[in-house]
Amino acid sequence: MKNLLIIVFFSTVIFAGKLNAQCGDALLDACHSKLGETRFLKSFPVQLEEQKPGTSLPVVRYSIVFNAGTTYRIFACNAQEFPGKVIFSLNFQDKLLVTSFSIDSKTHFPHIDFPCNMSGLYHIDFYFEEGKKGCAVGVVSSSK
Amino acid sequence: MANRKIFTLFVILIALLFTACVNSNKNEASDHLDDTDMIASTKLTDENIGEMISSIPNPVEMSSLLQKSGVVYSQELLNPANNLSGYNTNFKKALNLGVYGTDLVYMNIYDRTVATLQYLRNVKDLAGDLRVGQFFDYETLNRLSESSKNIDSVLFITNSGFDKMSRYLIDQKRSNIAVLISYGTWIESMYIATNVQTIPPNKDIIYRRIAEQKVILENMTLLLNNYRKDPNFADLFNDLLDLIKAFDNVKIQHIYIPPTIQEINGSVVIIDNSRSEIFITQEMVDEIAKKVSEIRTKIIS
Repeated sequence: MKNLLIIVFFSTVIFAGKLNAQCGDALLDACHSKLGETRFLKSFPVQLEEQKPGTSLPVVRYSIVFNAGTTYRIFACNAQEFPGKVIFSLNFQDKLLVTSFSIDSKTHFPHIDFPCNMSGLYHIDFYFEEGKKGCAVGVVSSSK
Repeated sequence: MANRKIFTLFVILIALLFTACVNSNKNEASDHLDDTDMIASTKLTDENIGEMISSIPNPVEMSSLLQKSGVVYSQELLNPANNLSGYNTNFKKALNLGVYGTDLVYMNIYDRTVATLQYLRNVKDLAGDLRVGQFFDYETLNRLSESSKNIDSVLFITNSGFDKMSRYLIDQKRSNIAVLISYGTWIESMYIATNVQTIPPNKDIIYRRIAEQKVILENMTLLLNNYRKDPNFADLFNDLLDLIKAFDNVKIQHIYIPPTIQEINGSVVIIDNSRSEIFITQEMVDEIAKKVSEIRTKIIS
């Protein structure tokens, strides 16, 4: 009984953190290595349910101010325990500028480099290929 | 049987102590700032607030611009580290967590890693007082700060810590604290940018970046307005309105031309054919600097 209580207590404490960490903060920490020669600016958690038949593709949108004269890099890291592969696109107002996925070649590009010439409020949309359930973290960094 | 009861009681006691330790506030704030969203009007959802906060530029951008432009480092512009003892309310603690966070970034960008120790401690203490100390790995940051080779790692841990903290606060229905931290961060960035010594080659670049901050004033106003029922927030809000007036004549025109997309070494590179035209004068910068300075003085005093 004594051992059981100890196990239950410590398991609760430990797993409460661990389960969240897989798709969340730990994912961002793991994404650190992808920064390369860029400097971290912002992160955007993305967790979406599977697209249901007859509904629109689940998308999460974030806003960010980009400044002219800075080259930004946008990339994302997937949580491996989910089937969805993240796709991201950069938009200015209602105009799609670029997406990380080529429909023609079915290619996922690892990052988008954006040497910004026009300062303003941009939007980054995140969604998962084929509307699968997924978890990811998007990152915006800048060149040094 | 009696032993079993005692042991069960002991485990419950340990669990309670653990919870108490996690939630402890070693330097209890003297005000009663309700750090839940209960007092907030329901105009903005937590999702809105999170999105607006994420749109506020990271202080790395402003400090990097200053450093790249050849602007000389000015330690005297930073909030003195020993001001910390005067921050006895959660309201002040949250604002100055943002201020010290920006100062820390500024020092790191300028490779003043040795001098960051006290500021790092202040960030840790304020975050701890606000019960978000878990997002700053002080020991690791302290160790990494010993070498300038680790600046990018220090900046990643610091900035990702602020990101995680902000999301956590919103999840915990304490978004007013998240808003104050973000506002303190931004005001300190603006204060540094508007008070550094500029010389002709870099002056235009810095003035342009100051003008570009007009873009985020709308989000900042909405964020502060959301908590305006709180008199402290009402003061911040009214001061921000004065700052907005100072930006009135700053003009930003977007000239959008569709981008050209290139694939280089398996990556997508956008050739941005658009541009923004900015109009700002020395008088406007002086007025903005004056207002920012007034706001910042209230925050740090």
